[in-house]
Amino acid sequence: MTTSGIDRVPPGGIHRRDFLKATGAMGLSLSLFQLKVLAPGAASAEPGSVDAAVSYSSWEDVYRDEWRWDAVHWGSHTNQCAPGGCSFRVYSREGVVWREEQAARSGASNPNYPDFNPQGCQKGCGFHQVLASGERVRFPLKRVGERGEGKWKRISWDDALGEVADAILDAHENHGPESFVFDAPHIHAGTVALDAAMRTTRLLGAVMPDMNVAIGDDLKGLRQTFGKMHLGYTADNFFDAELVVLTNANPSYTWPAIYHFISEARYNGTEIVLMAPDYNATALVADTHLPLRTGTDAAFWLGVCQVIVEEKIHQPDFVREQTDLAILVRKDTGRYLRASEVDGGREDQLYFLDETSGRITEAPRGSLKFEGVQALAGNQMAKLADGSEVEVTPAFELLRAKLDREHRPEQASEVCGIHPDIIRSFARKVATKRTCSFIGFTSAKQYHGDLMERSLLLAMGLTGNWGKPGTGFNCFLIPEAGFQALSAMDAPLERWGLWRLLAPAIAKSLWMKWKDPDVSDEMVSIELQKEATRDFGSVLPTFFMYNHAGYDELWDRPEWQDPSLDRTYGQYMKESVERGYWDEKLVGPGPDHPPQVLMLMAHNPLRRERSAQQTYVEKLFPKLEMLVAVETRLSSSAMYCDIVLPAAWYYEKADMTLTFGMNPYTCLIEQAVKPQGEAKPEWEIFSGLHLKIEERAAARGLQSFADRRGETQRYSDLHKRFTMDGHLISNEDVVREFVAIAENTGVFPAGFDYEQLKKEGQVRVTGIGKGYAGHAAANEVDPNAPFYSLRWHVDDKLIYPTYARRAQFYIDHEWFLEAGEALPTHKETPPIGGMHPFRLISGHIRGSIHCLQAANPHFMRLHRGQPVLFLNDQVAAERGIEDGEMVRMFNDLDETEIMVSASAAVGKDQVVIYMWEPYQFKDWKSHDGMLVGLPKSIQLAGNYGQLDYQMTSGGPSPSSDRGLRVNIAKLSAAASEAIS
Amino acid sequence: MSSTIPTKQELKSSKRQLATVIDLSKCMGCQTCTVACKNLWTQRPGTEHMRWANVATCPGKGYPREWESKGGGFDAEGRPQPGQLTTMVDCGDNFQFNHHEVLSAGNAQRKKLEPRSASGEAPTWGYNWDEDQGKGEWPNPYFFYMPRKCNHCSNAPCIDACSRNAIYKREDGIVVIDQDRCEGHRHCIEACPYSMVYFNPVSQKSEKCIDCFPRVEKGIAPACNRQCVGRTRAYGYLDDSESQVHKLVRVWKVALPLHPEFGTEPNVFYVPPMSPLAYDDDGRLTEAGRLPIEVLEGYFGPAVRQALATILEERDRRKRGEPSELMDLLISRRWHDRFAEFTGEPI
Repeated sequence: MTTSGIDRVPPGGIHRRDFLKATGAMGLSLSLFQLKVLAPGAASAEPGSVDAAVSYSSWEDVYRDEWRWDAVHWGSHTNQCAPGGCSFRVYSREGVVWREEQAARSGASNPNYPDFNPQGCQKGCGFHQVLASGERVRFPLKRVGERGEGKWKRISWDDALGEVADAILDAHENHGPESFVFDAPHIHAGTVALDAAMRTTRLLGAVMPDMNVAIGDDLKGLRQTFGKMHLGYTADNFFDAELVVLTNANPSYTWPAIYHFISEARYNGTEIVLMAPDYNATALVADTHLPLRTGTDAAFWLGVCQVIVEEKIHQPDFVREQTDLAILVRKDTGRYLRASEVDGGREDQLYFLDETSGRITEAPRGSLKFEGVQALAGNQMAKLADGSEVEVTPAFELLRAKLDREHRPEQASEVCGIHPDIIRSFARKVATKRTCSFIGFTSAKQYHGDLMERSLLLAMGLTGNWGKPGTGFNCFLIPEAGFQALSAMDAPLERWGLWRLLAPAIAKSLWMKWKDPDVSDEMVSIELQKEATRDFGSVLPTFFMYNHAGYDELWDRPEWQDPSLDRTYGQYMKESVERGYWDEKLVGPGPDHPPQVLMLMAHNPLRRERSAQQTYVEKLFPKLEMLVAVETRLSSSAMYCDIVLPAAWYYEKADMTLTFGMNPYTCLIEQAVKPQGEAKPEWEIFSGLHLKIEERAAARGLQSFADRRGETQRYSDLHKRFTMDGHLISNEDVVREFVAIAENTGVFPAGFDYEQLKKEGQVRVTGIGKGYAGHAAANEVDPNAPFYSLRWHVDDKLIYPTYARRAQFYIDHEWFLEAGEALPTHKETPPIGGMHPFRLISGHIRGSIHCLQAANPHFMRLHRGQPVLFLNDQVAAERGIEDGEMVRMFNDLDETEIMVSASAAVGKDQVVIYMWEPYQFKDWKSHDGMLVGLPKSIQLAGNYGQLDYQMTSGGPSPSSDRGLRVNIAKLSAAASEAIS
Repeated sequence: MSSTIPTKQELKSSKRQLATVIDLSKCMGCQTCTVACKNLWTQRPGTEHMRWANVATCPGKGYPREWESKGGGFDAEGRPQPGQLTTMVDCGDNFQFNHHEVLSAGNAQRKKLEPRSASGEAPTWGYNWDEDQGKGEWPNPYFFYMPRKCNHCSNAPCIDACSRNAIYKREDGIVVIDQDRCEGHRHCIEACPYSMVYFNPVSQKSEKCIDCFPRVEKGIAPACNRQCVGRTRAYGYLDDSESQVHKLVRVWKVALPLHPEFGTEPNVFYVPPMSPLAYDDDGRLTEAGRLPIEVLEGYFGPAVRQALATILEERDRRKRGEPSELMDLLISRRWHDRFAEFTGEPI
């Protein structure tokens, strides 16, 4: 009956007698059997009550009988909760999952740190409730009414796959492979499912607007500064910090599994600071809550930097070596001094002023080591090749001047609302304490989030707070546990599948190093990522949205642009292509190649893409011949689909979690029960789809098509290629292959295999991987210590993969200079959606991962069961709004109706709405409709080192829902207030 | 007449006493305990509205709604006090939803997914209704979370009140309601000043937290305690000098019963919450936490002042790099250390 290696109760559960024998609990349970004389006045003298010998514990079996099950399996919820990956035990009885509980078998890094138990929050502990819930899809559905009307007909798998296959082939025949758009398959569906989707996209030459970039889980400031964002630490790194700064995050809602490391670090003497415009639930664990005005983080951090520099409490040696701040900048142009203009050398050969020699000296490109002392101050004349002389100065000098001019604590305070004294004392703490920051993805949802991050990183860089225990930042540290490689492999490990990927990689490395001997292995790994990005059909989502989904009408409104730019987003976009920043493959499909088939998998664009209720529904969907979802549940987006293919959910299919840094364990998910109805694992669905395409192509007499590499592929090979010639038929086959790859690349311990994973349920990673991820994290894993990133740069002096080859705070790209953002600065969020009195902030609701459980009754019964808008209680009273009243919220673009929760914990100029399904709102119009999602134009900049795009990171994100201005009105007054 | 009828005193006594300590500085209000309990015990017909384990935002109306003003318990002289019944809505309701109407009946965009109360109307109250609202004035709002379950009191008023002698304390100190003997008179609900007894309208009997005794008998901590992802909870026998509950309650005296003035001698104890520093009128940070001590006193009595002072003193020792046994206890690097001998795996 069961398949895993857990010791468990025999089928049928425990019989009470067996139980008593087995536990020896007899004495305990029988304690009241020996009953005594009825005492005078005892309550039971009441007529009709106790009048005979009573047994006081036999009834207890009523409850004991509930505590039994037929089988126990390993489970988790990858990657519905991407960071989690918590190992669970899943209890089933008569083929139904009854409950789950954290396995809690993780150890500590070593006895000086808290262990990782129990790992698993309310979302995981109640996950089984979604399996048979009202929003679940059980059978292949075909729309019978208008799109989105909600009229369905149950059809067979054969018919459903046939319709999808035909639509894809129609698209191939009429408009080419890239008119099949797989709109950002999400890892929610599972690791195996995502691999199935990515292999499918690659094999069919389809296009995939980048999911991670589209949702804005892309910390641009990290990328601009370090050339990468996939770095982080294990949660016990907090324990090594003396100061922890939580910003743009609410981990009490979004990451309960690691929260205890924060509360326990606090008991251990670590000071905890939370920066948040509202007094969110994570504030409870903080010593200090800094209630910054929404969107003013950069002003705060630059005030901090000003104090650090003015009081000379920065670490000059760290700054000289690890950052670009000692690099010389021309005072006339604001550009770096370059060898190309000095002696005709490389364009990216930059210079220091060496204090020991007093001479301008080339900044080493291959290492951070420098024989001499890089000046951080002073001016110098530099002679150019044309004989002219220009005055140059270290970037640090420009920084100092800017900080003193614009960012003194008093000035910062005016903007962010935090008292100057607090800015000063905080700066001194950052400078003197091991400081660890945690930057949540809210930062990446703000128009100027990159400036906020860069300003924070500057403070950390000035004070040497990375690359050491108890320091750093966290963002998507994802060890390469098989999943990444398998999506690209054409043959299994045992048939040299991994080696076949390595050969071109080695060639690429040799070629790059021949061209530039100072290129690092990390830079090679990034270039390989970029190639893979193109092979997978991963494209910049904002181009797709602008060209096909009607976002041009929203993003080119002049009144909503950043006032410091003189062009609209669309103009920058066009210019970026003309300048060659983005090649054809990254911006496709072009405007003249309309998408024909749009497939969704665990992706809910009507919730996730800003204002999609207007754009997707009104502009994109009408262009489509077919809209199809591979889904576990009827999301708002699935409701618009022509075909919905029912997917198996966790506990109904085998899978393996990814590790996301904070939690160093990867765990197994077993199939505990059969899928609901006719649902199937995604791997089987895509496998079937490939067979069906083969069949239909043969019937049409179609032979081949060109993939993203331009290579000719035969339809008749699709299934064979998808399954690696029959090697990967089931989810379990794929998981087995993941484990083998992970072991082979050192991510899992040597000798570790699938059988061991079945036995133990999880494994602590021993490496980050030999590819991009390992280089990005830049430290080796010591399983007996907390992990932290960037050590190779700090200790081993490896260069950073940036243009300046250092942590780069001065970005002299023309567009950054034009926008006044060469150095980190503060800018107000543009008036996207119009100027209104309240600032919107958002995020995940407490009881759901994204909105996967938002419409589930079990989870909805943990709160008001409907969306709420948190409004300051005094403001509500002033406006005559009662707690629990429905109000209208609006901006220049759209409006919604929502219930008010009058809260003391929200600032007076804020409103907070978390994520909900649009169909939980009247007319299915959620607040997402107001968000516009104007991307930041200068993030289109390219041809400049790290200002580039690779799958999951880089380029602009349509992600600007935080800090927008909205207004609210009583419903009764709604009629009198016209929307402009 | 049989000679086997127990006295109330016998029903209230036990050989040992199991206890739970909940650390409010570590609680994030995530409701994992609620979910853990509900999935285990209160999905049966008639129990759906019950949350034997529950969390409410404090200050607030609490769970069940306004339970603190419903009476029950004992006065200073030990005399039972009148109490009130709770309604299904007070107990958090059991919202029903219209998935079919919204998703598959051709009503798209015209019907929204929405809750319906047991009253048949749109709800105006429900479980966790005042979540994260708190009190205080910006920029000094404050709140904390109050996770609760049956206190398994040493002087349990529910046992006294039961006209059927159906409620008793097991030898391990867990208070249970005999489902065979209970006839649904509901005196226990009125008697419990914590409103932690519920009525099952299907079985017509009262039910409440059983402290997961089927787990405890197997050496596994109760689900709410073991599944707490914030590691807020310790469990064990109060007289076990090695247990964390003993050390925190008896030795360090930093874990206190809720509303000791109710006179029931609860066996769930709370480590009072620290809070972020308050701002003064000029926007400077003060030295004091923002949670008014009077508010905490209202929950935990005057002893909370010393308890909180002890915690802050010991934390200062850690800040100075000195060792602190108390901080080590509250951290519990080894999660198992929280649960004394109840560290069995739930399989």
